[in-house]
Amino acid sequence: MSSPDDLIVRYLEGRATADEVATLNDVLKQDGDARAVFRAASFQALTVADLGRARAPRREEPARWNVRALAAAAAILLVVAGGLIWLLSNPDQELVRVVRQTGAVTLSGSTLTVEGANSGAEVLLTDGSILTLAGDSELAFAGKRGTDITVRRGSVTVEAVAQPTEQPMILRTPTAEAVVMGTCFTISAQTGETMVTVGSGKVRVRRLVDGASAEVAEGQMALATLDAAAPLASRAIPPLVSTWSQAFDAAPPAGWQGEWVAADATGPGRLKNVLDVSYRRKDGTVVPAYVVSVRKPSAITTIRPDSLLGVKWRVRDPGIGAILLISVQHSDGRFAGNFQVDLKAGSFPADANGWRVFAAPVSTLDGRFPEGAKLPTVGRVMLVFMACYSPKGELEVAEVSFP
Amino acid sequence: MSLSQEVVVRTLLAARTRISASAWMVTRDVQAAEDIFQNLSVKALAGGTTFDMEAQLVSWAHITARHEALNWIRDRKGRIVCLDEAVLNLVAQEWEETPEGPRLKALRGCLDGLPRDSRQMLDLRYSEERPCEEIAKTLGLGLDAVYQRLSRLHRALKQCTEQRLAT
Repeated sequence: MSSPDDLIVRYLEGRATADEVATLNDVLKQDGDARAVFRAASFQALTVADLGRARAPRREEPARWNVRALAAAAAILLVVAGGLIWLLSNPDQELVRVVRQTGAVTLSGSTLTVEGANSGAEVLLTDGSILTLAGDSELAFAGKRGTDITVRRGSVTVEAVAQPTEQPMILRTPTAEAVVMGTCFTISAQTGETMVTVGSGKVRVRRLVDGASAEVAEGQMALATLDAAAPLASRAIPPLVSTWSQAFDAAPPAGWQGEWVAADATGPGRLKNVLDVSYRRKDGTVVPAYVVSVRKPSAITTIRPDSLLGVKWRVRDPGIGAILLISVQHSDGRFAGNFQVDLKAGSFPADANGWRVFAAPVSTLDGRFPEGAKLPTVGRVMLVFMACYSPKGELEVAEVSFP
Repeated sequence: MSLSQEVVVRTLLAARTRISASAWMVTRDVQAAEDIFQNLSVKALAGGTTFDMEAQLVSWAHITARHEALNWIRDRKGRIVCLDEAVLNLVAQEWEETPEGPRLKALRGCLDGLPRDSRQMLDLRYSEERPCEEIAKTLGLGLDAVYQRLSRLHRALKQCTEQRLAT
């Protein structure tokens, strides 16, 4: 016969039989001490889970937050910004908290690393600001509020609450720094250059090579490089076309991930998959993906839910499927979600050389990060990603288009 | 006069672990409990219900968390056996009304003071959500020993927390 305390542990594990649950019902009805232990055990369990997550995000699969939950988090944190001084004064408060993640995301101390083109994370700072990292990127947080941020690489979208004038949020890259006053913007650090695009509010950008600075206002962008002779100017974000197409008759422009293969008897010029990180297991080992992708910090194209997406691809082993994913921002720069379709080779007829074609409205893609995400009325495509998860797949992509 | 949004947020966050625990006692799924907390936060902020006092809000949050958790179980078509709602209600009614921050801090101090193997067991069970059978294999223990150790740990942490709060 198990003791009441053991029954509580078994119940909380979800392993108690119906008889044991009935016994526990009786015990809890009558015994105030058992109820107190039950409450304490539940409180302790969630606290241990919280602490574990703060040390290193544990879930490998995409977080299951739904859109409403995300809205709640955003709403809560925006409101919190004005009021929760006690939170900020709590010395135990973590600088950042990963609230959603997909793929390989590691929070080690104050450094957040995202590995893999389709990996991503959303983090909350203690002041309620929200940062969304998309694709390979690394950030380090410092300062009392975690708002002194070093963007070592990659792209991060910042939805900042109003910042104290004496200590605003600062994002530093190897080539520039951006001083934030409460705004929504994206900063992308690549080798030798930093691009800042502002969806709303205003950001001051300082180029580190010579100290030149520029204010970047809503709807504008600035590019800071190591070339001090080039003007550091804020300019309007170029309007995006709503149709876009990329074939690979020649080597692709920068931003593409894949090994270019020239046209031959079996097909047109194409990109062959390269190895990338899909996610990390709990023991830290990497699960690879075989990837062809393109990411553009200034966006690839604009879409509406009825916009068409077309891809021409092949895999060596037709038994191996692939995934097609797009990452989309709202028109004001906020992250909207990752949307995905599973391409089962058997579902698409192949030509004599094994090439298959997918063509469908983007609305047919499922919101995967966050789960259930909805496409915005007008969105900006930041990433197109195709992958298979077997080395036998040998994925090749000959064309991607939003016709 | 109804509570402002700021007070609603502050009150919910000050009781977040307890409210989530009300859901977790039913679902025993950490992510589901977090989702439920987020959803009820949306409801509280959406303005469909107004609250005149913090205690009223917290009480509503516990009840809503429990109901949403029961719905979560029903969606799984009875595969999960759960305590009676009346018992869950009784358990929830006895949560303290004071902010949970000091208790959290005390508990963290107690957790930091645990022997390494005890902390490992708690991490395996609640942070990594591993079943006790797997923990038994990992740690080279019998299954009953794992249940016993966990139940003793819960009671010891409860006592430690209360002692720290009292001093």
